[in-house]
Amino acid sequence: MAVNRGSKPKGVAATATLVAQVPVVVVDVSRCGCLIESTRPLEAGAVGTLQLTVDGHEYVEDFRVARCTALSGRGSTFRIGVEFLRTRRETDVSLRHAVTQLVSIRTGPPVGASEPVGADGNNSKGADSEHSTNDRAVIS
Amino acid sequence: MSPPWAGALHTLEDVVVERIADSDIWVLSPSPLNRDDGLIFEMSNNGLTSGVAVRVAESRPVVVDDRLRHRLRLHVVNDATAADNGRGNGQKGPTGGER
Repeated sequence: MAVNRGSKPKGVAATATLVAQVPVVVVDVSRCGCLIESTRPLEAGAVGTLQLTVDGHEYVEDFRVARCTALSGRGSTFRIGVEFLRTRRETDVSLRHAVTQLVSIRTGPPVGASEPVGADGNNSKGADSEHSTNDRAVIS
Repeated sequence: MSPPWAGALHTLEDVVVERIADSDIWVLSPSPLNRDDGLIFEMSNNGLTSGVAVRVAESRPVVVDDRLRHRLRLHVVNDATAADNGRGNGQKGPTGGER
């Protein structure tokens, strides 16, 4: 590791980032967020990157945790609602792009697909937020 | 769609580095962590970001500047793991240092 070991940071405090990897299963997904299950809880407000592999293709999206609740009767299983942050362009590796493609195949072009849902930044309910079912795909 | 999509969340937490030794790193974090949690410790130096796999050895609440923080002792597990995760340049750190 290219950090200076054996020394105390002087002057301005040295900062670093801790990256945690949490395995998840996606329950529900839309263009503005998704609902996932994990064995680890996450605090509301936590940010990070969601990485999914679907049919051999890898998709990535930055997110913020909207809520996290423990599932009763399922041991230590947590259901986490995350909101996608529009920090990346909607390229082929974007999860938003994948959802758009998926919804188009299933139901035809979504109404107002060019208008990102929740783009005003006020959507803090994750995948459970109110939006058109045309904009949403349930993983079963 | 079946089976359900599986993947991973990568969460980020900014921490203040207190001390770095041979095999342990002490940091102040705004939130606690569970012992034995596996993480990647990333630090920038001269524009390059390097990462190393660590495991939480200790997590203790402390008050710093009238704020609750958590002092974490992170045990360095394996530099190669960080490189495998694509979160680091695989550089080995200098040997030696204080404990």
